[in-house]
Amino acid sequence: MMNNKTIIETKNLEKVYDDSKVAVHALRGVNLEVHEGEFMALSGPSGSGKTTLLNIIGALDHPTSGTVRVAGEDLSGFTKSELSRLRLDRIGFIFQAYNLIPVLTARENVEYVMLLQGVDEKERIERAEAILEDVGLKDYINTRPNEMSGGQQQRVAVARAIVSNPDVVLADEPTANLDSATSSSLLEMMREMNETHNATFVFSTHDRLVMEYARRLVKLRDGQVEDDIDKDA
Amino acid sequence: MLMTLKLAWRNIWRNKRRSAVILTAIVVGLFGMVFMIAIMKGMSVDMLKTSIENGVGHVQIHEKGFNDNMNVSLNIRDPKYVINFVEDTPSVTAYAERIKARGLVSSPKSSTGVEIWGIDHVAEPDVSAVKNYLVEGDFLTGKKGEIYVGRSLAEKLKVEKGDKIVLMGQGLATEIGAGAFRISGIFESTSKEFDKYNIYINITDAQELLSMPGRVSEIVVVTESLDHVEPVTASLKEDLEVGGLEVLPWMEVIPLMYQMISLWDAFNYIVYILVIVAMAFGIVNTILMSVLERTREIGILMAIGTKPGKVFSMVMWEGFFLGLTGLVAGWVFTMLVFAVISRTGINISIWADSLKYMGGISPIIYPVLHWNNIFGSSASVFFAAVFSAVYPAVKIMRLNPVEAFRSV
Repeated sequence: MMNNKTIIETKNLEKVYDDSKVAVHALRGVNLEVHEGEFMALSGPSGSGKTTLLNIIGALDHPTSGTVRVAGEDLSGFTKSELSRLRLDRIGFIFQAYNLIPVLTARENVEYVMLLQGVDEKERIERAEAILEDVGLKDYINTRPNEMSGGQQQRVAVARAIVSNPDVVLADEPTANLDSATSSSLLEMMREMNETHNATFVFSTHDRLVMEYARRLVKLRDGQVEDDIDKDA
Repeated sequence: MLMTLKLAWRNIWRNKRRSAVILTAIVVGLFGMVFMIAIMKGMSVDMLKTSIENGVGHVQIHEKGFNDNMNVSLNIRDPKYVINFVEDTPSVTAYAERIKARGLVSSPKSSTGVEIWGIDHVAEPDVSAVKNYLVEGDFLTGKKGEIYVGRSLAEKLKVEKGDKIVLMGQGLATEIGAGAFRISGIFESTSKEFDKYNIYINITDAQELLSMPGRVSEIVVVTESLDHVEPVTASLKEDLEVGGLEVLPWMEVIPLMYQMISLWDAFNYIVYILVIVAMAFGIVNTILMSVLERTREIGILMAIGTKPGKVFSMVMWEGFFLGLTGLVAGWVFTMLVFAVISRTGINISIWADSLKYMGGISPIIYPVLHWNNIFGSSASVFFAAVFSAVYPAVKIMRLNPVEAFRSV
C-alpha cells in the first residue's frame, strides 16, 4: 500500500569519515525518497554505504553535506536531544542482534518505548499485549529473551518497533543471525504488519530472501544509488 | 523512574557470580571496619574504666597545683566545706577523701619508691575497685598500722601477708615521717606496674605519718555516668575554684589517656577513608566491566530514544543497589557475629604478660558498637558504592550509538 506522502527524503547526501589517515567517502550524493507504506530494501556489497545511509535517515548520525528530512522535518539543525526525541517518536529500529533488554520480559521490552514516550501504564500494557499477539507471541508475554529463539526475539523487536506507531521502521540486517525458515516467517510477519498497520519498512540487507520480499529494491554501490527497482510499478 | 529502578536492580543480578563476589567484598569490608573500630573502642573503654576504677574517679578536687607535683603542702584544709558542695551537686553517686603522697617503702630485703594512698576504707570501695583486687588476706579495716600492697611490690620486697614493712614520706612540716605497717592484704590488678607502685593505708594513719591532721590531699567524686562528668565539674568549679581549689575532670587528670582515646577515635576517620578507597576500586572495576559488556545493548537503548541522562541514572542506581544490598548483607553478618562476641569477648590473654605493662587492659576485650561507628561505616560503604558508579555512568552516557554498534 503506498500513497504519495513522503516519509524520508535525502538530497545530495554525502558522508565522509575522517577518523583514520585516509578519508572514507561512505556516501557520495545520495538522493532518495521513501513513501508511506513502502516495504523497501537497501542492498549492496560491504562498503556500499547501506548502513551509513540507514544511520543518517535514522537520525543516528549527521551527513557531511546534503539534507535529510524525516516526516517532513529537516534534521540538519537538530541537537542530540532533538534527534533522540525524533527517534523515539517517529522511528522504529530493528537490529541484527542485541535488540532486546535481556532483563526485561517480552512485554516489558515492548512497553519500554511507550514508557519513554510517557504513555500511561494501562494503555502500555494493553497495546504491548495486543501487538505481541499480532506477531504470534501471545504465549511469550512474560518470557525473557534468553528463553526465546532468535526468531522469537526478532518478532519481539518488530513488535517494539511498531507499537509506538512510528513513521518508519528501519531494520539493519534483521535476518542475518536467522536460518532461512525463520527468516521467511519473520519477513512474512513484517509484510503483514506493513499491510495491516500500514507500517513503512526500510531494510538494509545482504539477504536475498529480504530482497525477494521487498517491493522496492534500492541498490547501492560505492556510496551511490546504482539502481532503484519498484516491483509494483 | 520505576522502569529505571527495575532495570538497575535486575542488571546487577545478570552476572550473579560477579555480583556475589563484589557483595562479599562489601560484606567483608564493612565487617572488618566495624569490628576493628569496635575493638579499639572496647579497648579504650576498658582502659579508661580501669584507670577510673584504679583511683582516678570521674572528678578530683585538690588544692590548686597539687595535681602537677603532689606536694603535701598543697592540701585541702577544710574537707567538710568541700564535701557539703559535693553532696549538694546532682548526679554525684559517691565520693571519698584521700591523702596522696610520694614515699619510700622498705623491707629487710629491699626498698622502693611508692605512691602512698591514705584512704577511707568504707568510702573508697564506692569510688575505686582497689578492694576488688584483693587476692590474699584482707582489705583495710580501719585498724591502725594496716597496709595493703600489690603482689608485684610484695615480690620485689620479698614480703608476705603479715610481714612488717616501713613506710617513709615527706611530712607537712618538712620533716620525714616514718612508720611501720603490717601487711593486711595483697592485691593484684590488671597492671603489674600499678601493683608495684601503689600502697594503701588508712587515712588516719596517713594524716599522722605526714603530719596532716584533719587535712586531705584530694576528694574524688564518682558521677552517674561519663556523660555527667562535665556538668558536675562545671557545677563544682563554680562553687569551689573561687576558694583556691581546682576541680579536675578525668580528662585533665589523665590527659595522655584522654588524648590517646581521642586519637583512636580520630583514627576511625582514616579507616573510613581507606575503606572507601579500597572498596571503590573494586566496585568501580565491577560496574565498569558490567557496563562495557553492555555497550551494544546500551547503544541500542540510546538509538531507540533513551536519553543519555536516563542511561546515567540507570548505572548510578546499579551502584546504589549494590551498595544497599551489600550494606544490608554486611550488617546482618556483622550483627550475627557481634551477638556472639559481645557475650564471649575476644580473649587476648596469650598476650597477658605484656598487657599487664600496658596500663591495665583486660585479657578479654568486649567490642563496643557506638552509633558513630554504625553511621560512619554504613556511610563509607554506601558512599564508596555509589561514588564508584560515577565514572562508568559518565563513560557510558557519552556513548555514540553508531560507535556502540561497531563494538564487539
